[in-house]
Amino acid sequence: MKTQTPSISEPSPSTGSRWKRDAFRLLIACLLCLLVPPLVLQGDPDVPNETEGDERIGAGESIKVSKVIADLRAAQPDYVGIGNSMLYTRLGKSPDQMSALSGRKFSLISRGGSNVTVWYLVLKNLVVASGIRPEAVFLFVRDDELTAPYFAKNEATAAAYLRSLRSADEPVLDKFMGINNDASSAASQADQWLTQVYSFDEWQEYLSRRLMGVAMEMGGFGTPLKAQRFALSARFGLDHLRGNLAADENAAPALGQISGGFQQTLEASLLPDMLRLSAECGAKLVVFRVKRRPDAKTHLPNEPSAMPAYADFLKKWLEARGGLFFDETYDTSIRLSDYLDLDHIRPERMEWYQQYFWERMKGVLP
Amino acid sequence: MIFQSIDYLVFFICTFALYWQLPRRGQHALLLVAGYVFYGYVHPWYCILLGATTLVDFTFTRLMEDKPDKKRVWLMCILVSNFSILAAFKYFGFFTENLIALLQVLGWDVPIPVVQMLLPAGVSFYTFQSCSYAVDVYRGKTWARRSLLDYAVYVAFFPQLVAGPIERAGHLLVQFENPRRFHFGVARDALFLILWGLVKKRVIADTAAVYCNKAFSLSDGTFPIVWAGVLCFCVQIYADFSAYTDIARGSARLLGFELCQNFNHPWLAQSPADFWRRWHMSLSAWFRDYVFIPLGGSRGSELRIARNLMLTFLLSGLWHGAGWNFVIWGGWWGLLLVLWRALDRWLPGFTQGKGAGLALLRWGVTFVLVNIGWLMFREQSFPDLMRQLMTSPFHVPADDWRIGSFFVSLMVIYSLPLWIHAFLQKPLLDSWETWRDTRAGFALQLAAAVALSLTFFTLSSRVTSDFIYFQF
Repeated sequence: MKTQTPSISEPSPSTGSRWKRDAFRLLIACLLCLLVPPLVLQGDPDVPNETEGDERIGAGESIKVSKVIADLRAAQPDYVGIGNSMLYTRLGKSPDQMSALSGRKFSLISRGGSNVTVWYLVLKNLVVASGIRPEAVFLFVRDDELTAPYFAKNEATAAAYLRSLRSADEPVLDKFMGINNDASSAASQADQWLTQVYSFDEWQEYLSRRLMGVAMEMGGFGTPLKAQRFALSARFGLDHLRGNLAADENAAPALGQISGGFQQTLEASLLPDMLRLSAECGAKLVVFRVKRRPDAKTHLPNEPSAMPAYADFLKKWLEARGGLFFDETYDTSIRLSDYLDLDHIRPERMEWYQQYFWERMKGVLP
Repeated sequence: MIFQSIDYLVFFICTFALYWQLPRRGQHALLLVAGYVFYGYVHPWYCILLGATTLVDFTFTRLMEDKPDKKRVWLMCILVSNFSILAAFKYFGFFTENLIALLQVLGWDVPIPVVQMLLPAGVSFYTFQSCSYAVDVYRGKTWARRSLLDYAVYVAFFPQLVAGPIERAGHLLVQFENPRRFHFGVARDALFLILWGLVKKRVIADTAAVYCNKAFSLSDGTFPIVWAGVLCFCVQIYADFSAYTDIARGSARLLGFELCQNFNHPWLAQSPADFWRRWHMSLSAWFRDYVFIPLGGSRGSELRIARNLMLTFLLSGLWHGAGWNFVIWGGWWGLLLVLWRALDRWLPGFTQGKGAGLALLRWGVTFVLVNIGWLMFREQSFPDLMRQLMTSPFHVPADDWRIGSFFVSLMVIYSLPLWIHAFLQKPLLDSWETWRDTRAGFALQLAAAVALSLTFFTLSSRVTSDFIYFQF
């Protein structure tokens, strides 16, 4: 309880039993404040369907690894697509349309809000672990998010999702994410222990979403929550932002922070291991850079000045190692009117996009 | 170093553990070292500035007593040196930019280099604190200290060094000169205050900041979104700044010091003057004592009082930042105080009338006026400020009303603890002294602390930012 000011001269020196009582009370209060949260908030919040059909990975959401592996084994796809909403808003959540259009078997493993750490684990612990032999594995990415450590570390929401995908030992991923698993020092052990005990990412995500939901119900005048979320996302899209902010938002976040050059960035990323993993299952790794929301007049997106040089370097680097790089960014046939919100393609333009994709890829894919 | 970091936690635990093992002079030496470590943690060169301010002010205040015939000269030396630091680091870029613009309007294209210097955190706070000491010595309200250590630690006392409260020698410096004892009951209250401050910062202010930034990021914000954004800022700035004060006061209490109160539920204000008696009280008192009263205060004709008020608040605006929006904000407050004084004479029934209805009306009017002021404070682009002030509530898309309404609802939910605290103050907290040590008092405090702890761990915003007042 917040108190009125106790004056400095006021507290008489605590003596004897009162001193002990006050000290005991302080100790109890501190212990309870520190111990109650981890005791009460054990496990993840029980909200398995909370984010069903939602855009992004939700709090506490996990992936059913065995089911996906069984599905992959049953499908034996020629091509496997991995990505986030960039993938499913372009090619669809189900592979049926792409399979029908191309006459080849597609499997699409996408989850909104996922990032390169998830994609790496999907490739390693689902695609390779399933034992299938696809001809190509393609990744749908924006700008430099495949190699940007900022982008990978900044996604706390996907903690449970990542955990469900991880195997016991993931040294490559941990190194990339800057996780120090050197448990030799007492400090690092204490740090790991504290992180483990006081990490409530799922609860934070769950409760903040609940409060957002309550606020939307209070302020939405009966409008369904999904429609409100959609309106919110569209209203704060790039075309409504102040010029400087739109440029910032649209910029590849880590590109400006590269100090050691592109070579060092690529070598330090998960990409070398992803190439190795693809080769392990006999597939070519294809990186597909999607076009971000373009400007209405130029039909080109804003991008950092270093981005074309980075893309060019990535293409050469990948091709020199048996991979492929395809970039649709500068294709002006993809217009602003094809976009729904942010960098997502309108559902009614998805069929057109699927054809666009296949036209460009059928000659390139093995 | 920022309060809501692990670094501060470790730093404070180490300082605290050592502090109570030492005799008084040792404690002061430790606090001085801790103050400089705290201040120079990110930019060590900041310490040079802090040390220079301390040495100059200490030397010249001693000269005021040793050579009183030149008292005024020594005071001027202190004021010039302190305000030169502020002018150089805070206002130089602003004034040269405006000078260049003015000269260009007059047709002279003078190539004056615009130098933007990194503003040392908290420079406005400790400069004002040091100036107040010098003026008090000059006025004979306090005496020039003979101990450089006591004075240096008073200026560099880390809990309030970067964002106040702006202390006076008569309140804080005397505490350094008196013995201190550790008291478990006070420590319990101090820890509670720190926890409450952390919740206000990480849960309320940082969440409000996300939505405020969203609203202010739009180039085409409509009436409901702009004003919902302003409301978010109103919640953010109060939770943020009062959180800093709470953590500062809690940290100081653990070391045996009592810092002055800086906030008294400003949202409950029923007039502009009432707001400034409740908001950033240490700064308001500083401007009252060292600017408004020397200008003549409330004596003289109404015109003269109006001039004094306008000048005081324009300077207060400029103190907050080197930008025209802050000057406009200061002018807005000066104008409101002048107009409210006029209203006091013309409509005393409204400004002084009893009754819940009138009080509610006064509160509503004040709350709206405060928020118009926050728009001026938050929006740093003059064209955008004008556009936002001119937004019309008519012909707004329904989605924008829903978004504005969602932001407002969210702020109502997140600011609920602040309202509860405000309304509990009178019946519960004012008499806390008498029942803090009872079983019921302990149980209540414990339950509240555990609830705050749970709130902190589960509702802290993912995105955190510096305290807003660090930039001043």
